[in-house]
Amino acid sequence: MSARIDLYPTGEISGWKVRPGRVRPYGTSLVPGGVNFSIYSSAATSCTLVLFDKQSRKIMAELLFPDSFRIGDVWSVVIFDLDPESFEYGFRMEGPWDPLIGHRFDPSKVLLDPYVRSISGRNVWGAPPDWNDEFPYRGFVIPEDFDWRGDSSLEIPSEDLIIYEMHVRGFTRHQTSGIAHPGTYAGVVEKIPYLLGLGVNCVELLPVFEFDEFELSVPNSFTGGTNMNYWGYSTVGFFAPKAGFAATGSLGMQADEFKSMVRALHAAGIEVILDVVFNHTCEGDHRGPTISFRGLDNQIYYLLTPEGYYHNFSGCGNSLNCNNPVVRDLVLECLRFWVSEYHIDGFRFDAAAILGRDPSGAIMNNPPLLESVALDPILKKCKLIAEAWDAGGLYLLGKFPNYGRFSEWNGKFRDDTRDFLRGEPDHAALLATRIAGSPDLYEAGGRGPLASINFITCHDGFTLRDLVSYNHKHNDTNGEDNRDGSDDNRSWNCGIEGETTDPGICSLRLRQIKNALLMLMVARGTPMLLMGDEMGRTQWGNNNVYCHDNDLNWLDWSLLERESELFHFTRLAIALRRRHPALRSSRHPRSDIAGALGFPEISWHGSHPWSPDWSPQSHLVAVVFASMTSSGEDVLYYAWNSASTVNMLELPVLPEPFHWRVAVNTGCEAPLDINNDDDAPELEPGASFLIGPYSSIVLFARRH
Amino acid sequence: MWSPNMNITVSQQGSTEVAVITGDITHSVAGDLQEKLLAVLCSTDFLVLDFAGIGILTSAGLRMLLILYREAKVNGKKLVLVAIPESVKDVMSVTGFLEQFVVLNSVNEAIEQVSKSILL
Repeated sequence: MSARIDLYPTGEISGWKVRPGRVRPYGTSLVPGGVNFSIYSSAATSCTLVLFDKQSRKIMAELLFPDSFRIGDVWSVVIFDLDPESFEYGFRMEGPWDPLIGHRFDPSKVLLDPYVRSISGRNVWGAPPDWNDEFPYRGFVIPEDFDWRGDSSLEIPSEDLIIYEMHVRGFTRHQTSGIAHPGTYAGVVEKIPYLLGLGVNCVELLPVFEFDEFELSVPNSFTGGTNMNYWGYSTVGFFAPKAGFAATGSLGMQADEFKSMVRALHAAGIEVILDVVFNHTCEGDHRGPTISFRGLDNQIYYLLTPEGYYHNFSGCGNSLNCNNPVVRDLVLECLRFWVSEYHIDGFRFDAAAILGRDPSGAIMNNPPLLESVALDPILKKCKLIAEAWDAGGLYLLGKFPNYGRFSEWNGKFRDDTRDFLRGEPDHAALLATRIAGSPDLYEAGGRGPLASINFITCHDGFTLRDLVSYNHKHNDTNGEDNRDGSDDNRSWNCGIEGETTDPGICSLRLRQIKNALLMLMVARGTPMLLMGDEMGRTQWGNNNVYCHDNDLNWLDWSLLERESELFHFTRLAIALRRRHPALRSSRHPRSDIAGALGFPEISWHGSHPWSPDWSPQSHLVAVVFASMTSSGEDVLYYAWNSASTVNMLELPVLPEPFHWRVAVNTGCEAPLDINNDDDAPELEPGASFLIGPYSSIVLFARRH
Repeated sequence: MWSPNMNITVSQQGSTEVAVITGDITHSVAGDLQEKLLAVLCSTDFLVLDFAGIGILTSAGLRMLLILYREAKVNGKKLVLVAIPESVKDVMSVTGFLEQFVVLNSVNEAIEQVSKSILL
């Protein structure tokens, strides 16, 4: 006996067999015999489900929900005999138009379901849209039955993680990628061997929730072309993967392709973190389009001024009302969905400070959304990374409401490392603090160094090559007369602005890049590398390439050959970190706790051992990390001289039979710049070390 | 694009049943097709699906095939896909379906392998 009595229709609407649906889950779900729809609005007076014929793109039915199909503020219906592959859908909401109290209902619009799992309209990246289409984005139903074949999240300890921040399209779109599916999820899979060769074990993907690359279609006065929303920090659908990133987007199979990518990355031991944007939506301010939330329940979803306009803490026109219980539910449900349905390993929250604001925009002491995310059982093992500031001036670095769970993009690590790198005075002590895992930010409250995502470059700003090649941003190609983008770059061009063939400058730039990468791999915390920095990717001085779908953003794989020395160095620097547990502890190292070989966990040195120079004029930092591990003593000496002059380092003495070996010396020409442990040259006991100008070294202790 | 323009003809070749499918395998035909093929599977140990003439294979079509494949497997039978057009093969590959099937180039190759018991 297996029949259920609720598998049968109870009536008809507009010629379709229906019955009252289930209110949860929100959105659509496939049920025996039909499709269940559920949609929320607190202020709509009526709700109509609109079905489009997928083939003709015309409306094939409009079903007004009877009042008996509403429970509380939620309408739901099961429609029978609906072929899931033949239709797309949206909703019309009737309700007041009264912006002063926050209502902007407009029944002429067909609205996107906020919980929709797949969206059509931008199926193929860059394919010219039909600008006359009144309803460009439409939802459709997909099976959620992917065969994971035993895959689950990797749960790599954060101390062992090496993050690679990348854009799905930019990673392989360039013609030099030499793969079958450039610019797609499938393309990422084809490049897994490359990622493994580099040694990273986590990719952090720039936004992959459905967005509209044509959203910023404004003429570019410089290029004469049209700007695009290439980065995608403007969500259309929080539950739908970007179709235009899928080789199979035109067939509506982006979800399967995305899952296939995650499964393949996991099989290679690589985690997947998503850059998620919950601070605003794609609907802009009061002049923006009505796509979903504005027409469903404007007053609930957005932070509004007393006059009914949109607070703009995001810099993108609106701000999501994240600490309203309904919106909180949406965000939480979304994160759970990506973790359970897509096996995602973690999230980086864009402009996350907004998530701690109350409905008036004020900062909350105990923001319920962040608490719910931090303590949610389904999210319990995934990585949570906050960009701890927003465009509204809220800067919470080191103070982000973290509940012991959120780490932070450490903006101070970026700034101090850049300043030390370019030789600014008064930065030796600050650099030391960053090396030690930023205890100034993360020791209080027991957060530890893993609260710090260490990075020097990210998608937002200069690439590493440009950081050592430009003193100023060069954003003319964005078409805004170089006004956009940050002026706080802390960069140094090494003598000439931009590209040069001057061998002295080229060699110095390469050394500076190596110094930066080495710092990233040696410092306590979780390092994050920007896509392409390992092969000297340039944006020709543009520090804000959000709008370019071209060579400014696409990774040129031919660099790999031209910059083979840099790639080799990066690979070995990553390997060095992975080989030496003393670099990766989850605790802040202490100078009053014994480490190994007579050294404390951390000790500071200078030209003379045990005599660090923290004076404003000092451009030298030297440190010994020492720890006992299951495989024995692990002791490393790291020194960075950012002065233009050489410095003689008297090395700390190791107990016999241990001798220092030279793992890295960026002052040496390749191949002597970096060595595997076994090939590393051994130093005589008591030897001094001549560290070159703008150079850094790593030594490690090994038995003679 | 979504209209049911699918055809199937089944013939016996030695100990193998060969189903030649042409047209689009979409949700609207997947149910009927599955029923037909399951019936064929009841009467044979080896079923070859000749895809040389298929057009579109949608998400629902792929899922129907996978169910069929698993049905065959639990009953100790063999299902082989042959002559899949490159474009369809590509979609199956990037969505993770292809690796779940036994895929060969032609009907003859499948029959040969059956006769040599390679597929056992």
